Amino acid sequence: MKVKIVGNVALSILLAASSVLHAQVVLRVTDVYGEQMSSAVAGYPFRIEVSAKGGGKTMRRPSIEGLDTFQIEARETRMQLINGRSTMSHIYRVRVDQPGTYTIGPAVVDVDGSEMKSNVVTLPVVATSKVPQQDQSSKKRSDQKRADQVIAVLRADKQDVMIGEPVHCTLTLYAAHPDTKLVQVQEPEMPPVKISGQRGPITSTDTIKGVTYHAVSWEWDVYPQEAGTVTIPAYRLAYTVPQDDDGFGGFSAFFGLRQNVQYIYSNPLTLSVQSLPAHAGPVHATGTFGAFTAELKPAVARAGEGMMLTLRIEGNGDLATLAMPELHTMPAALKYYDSKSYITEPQKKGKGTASKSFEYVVQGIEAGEWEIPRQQFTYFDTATRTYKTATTQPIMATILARPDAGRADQKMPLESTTSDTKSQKDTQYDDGELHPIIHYGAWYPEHSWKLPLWLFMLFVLVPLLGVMCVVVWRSVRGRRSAQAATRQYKKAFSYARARLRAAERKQAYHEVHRIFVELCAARLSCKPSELSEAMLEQKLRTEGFSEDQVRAWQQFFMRSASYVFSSQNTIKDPTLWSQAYHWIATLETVL
Amino acid sequence: MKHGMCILVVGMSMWVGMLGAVGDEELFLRGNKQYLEGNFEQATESYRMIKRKGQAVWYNLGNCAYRCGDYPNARICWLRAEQASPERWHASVAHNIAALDAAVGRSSTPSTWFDALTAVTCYVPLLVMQVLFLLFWCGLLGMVLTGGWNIRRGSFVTLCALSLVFGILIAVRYTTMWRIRAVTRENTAIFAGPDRHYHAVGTIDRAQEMVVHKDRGDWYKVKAGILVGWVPARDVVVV
Repeated sequence: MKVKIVGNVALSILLAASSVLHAQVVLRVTDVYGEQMSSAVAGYPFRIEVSAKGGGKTMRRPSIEGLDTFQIEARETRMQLINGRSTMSHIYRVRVDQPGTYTIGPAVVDVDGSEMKSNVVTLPVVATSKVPQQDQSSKKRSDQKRADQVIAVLRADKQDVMIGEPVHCTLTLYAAHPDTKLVQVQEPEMPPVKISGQRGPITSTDTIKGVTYHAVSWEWDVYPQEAGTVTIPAYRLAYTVPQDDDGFGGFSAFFGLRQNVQYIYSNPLTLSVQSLPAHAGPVHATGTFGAFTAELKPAVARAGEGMMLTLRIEGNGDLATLAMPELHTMPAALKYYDSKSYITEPQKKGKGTASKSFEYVVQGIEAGEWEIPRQQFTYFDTATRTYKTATTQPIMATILARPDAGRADQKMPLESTTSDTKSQKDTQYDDGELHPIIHYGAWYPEHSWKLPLWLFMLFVLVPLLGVMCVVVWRSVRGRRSAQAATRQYKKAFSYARARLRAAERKQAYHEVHRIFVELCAARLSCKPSELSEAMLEQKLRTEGFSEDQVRAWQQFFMRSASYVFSSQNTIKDPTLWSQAYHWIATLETVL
Repeated sequence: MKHGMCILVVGMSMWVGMLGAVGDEELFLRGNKQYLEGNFEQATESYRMIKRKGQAVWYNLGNCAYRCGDYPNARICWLRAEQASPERWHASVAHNIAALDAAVGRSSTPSTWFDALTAVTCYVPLLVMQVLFLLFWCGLLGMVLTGGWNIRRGSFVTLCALSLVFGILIAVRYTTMWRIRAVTRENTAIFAGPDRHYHAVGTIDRAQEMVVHKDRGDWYKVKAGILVGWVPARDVVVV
């Protein structure tokens, strides 16, 4: 038993020791496609891979000496298991912008609790911007056919520049296959440069070495901010190409399997940036500039009124960051304030130059003729590599006295001198018998507010017509109702007889009371609801009915009313109909 | 000689172009300045160069013409200033025209009741008159509709009177607006018919205002004060 235990422990120790002893940590540098490389290009990414072959089950992130000198763009971890032997890899996609020789490693790795060190790699980094790297790399890729058909090129119109000098850059993706689609342009982290004027995408067709490519381009301007070597890193572009038929026909397209996203890098660019030579005085910009003009609108204004002074510089430079120039030696009688600035692009691309305008609000505070002196704009001319100064022409501003200048309670902001007061008095003209001229306002045609005649007449006539319609309608309605009442009065008895006959046919005893009420109401010119029993009796008495007759009427009227409130099973008396006819005939003689 | 002409033409074109570029407001202010300095001819030129002349420009032009002794033009310019918005300019124009009439030795008091009524309506904006009339008119019709006219007789009569007054004022104002006015350039005879063969019914002084009733091309039938007759078109300027 003891022998068995000792044997197991020994076997375990042996296995553990053999796995650690067999493990090997390797550091290697490859290009972005995984191929071994001996040197890198500044600004172009490559990969640093730390692999623990045949190592244990766990491997923490390695500590790589010298890794912090590189710009890490991405990192990933891979694990392979082949025949029970695992290989763990930590891969870093990095970039370095400055040429030189770099030492990477050793990478220190903790494999299953044991610390292991890798080899050390010395990597020379060269500065180049002429060779499109993807051409070399793509040849090594497995799908060489595809890579050859897609090229990404980053170009610059110049490489030796001064600080602030515009560099026109173009990134172009050439694709031989017409169905190649660009998915994403991944912009790298930029060195200290300013970027402006981005344009694109611009599509075109180009022929390179006899192959026709479909090209998509982006353009922008770069303004270096520091002297030295500036590397514009390679751009990473993602694109899709249609897959060949995989045998699944439309199913692949349905599930999006026939779109294969691939990546390609452009070449990096290296710029040699020089410092500007020393210059006494302010320098406004770097570039090639043309006309520098000044304009004042209006040139004549009243004291206190605003005029717009516009300085305009035309040329090719970093117009976006061009600060508002300070106005020099302005007369004390003119106050000014910075207003706004704006860039005017040329109407047609490639024709003419852009310009930037600076607007100032100028306010005259004293009457007189004042000169806005020449303004200067100093810039480093990149064409001649010298400093140049552009100047504007002087402008005369005429400030008129305000019409209320003579009032003691409304003084000008700047107190006038005695001579100025005299000059103002000299310019005042006494209009004498005429009303004075109008000094401000309404020099342009003013709109006189009034309702158009057609609208006014509409407002007058429409209510009038409405009222007339209402009056006519009321009149017609009144006449009609009067005629209806007369007709009802005259034909009340015949109508009552007809209704009575109809009620008799139907044996509708309860109708009798209503027929008599409506008959009496029509003859007495009142509403049925206004009619009362006492009122009827009074009328009968007035017409000479005896008390017996009145009593007989009361009995008949109450009897007919009783049928209104009686149930269906009440015994009906047919003599009611003869009495009803009798009373109609009687009432016809008195009502 | 040919080169000189070319240079002259180019120079003139540039000068005209530069003038066109100058803003109307600037010309107006420049004209005002020249007027204040007593340069009436220059001020007139500045005002005349303004492309879209407003009432103030016409008024100032009238003053310039008056100062230059061009009374017919002064009257025309003032009348044009008054035409667009009489309620704003009538007082000044009336004052200046009175001064002009005094300068030419003529009385400018209103000659007819219509002229007097016209002068009254000039002080009230047309929009105000229209709105007031519509208010009174609607009130009146409302009373008729509700039968209130029979109960509140006093209010009804007042509304009737106010509607009538404002209706008359608006009618007078529209008649004035539609009236075509003209001013004589020189002293001119007024004929009984549209030809010089007709006998002259009177004489109209220089810079006198008249109302045009008919237009027969070379002749206008006009009413000047109490005179009605025909004058040659070339002797008058229509406002």
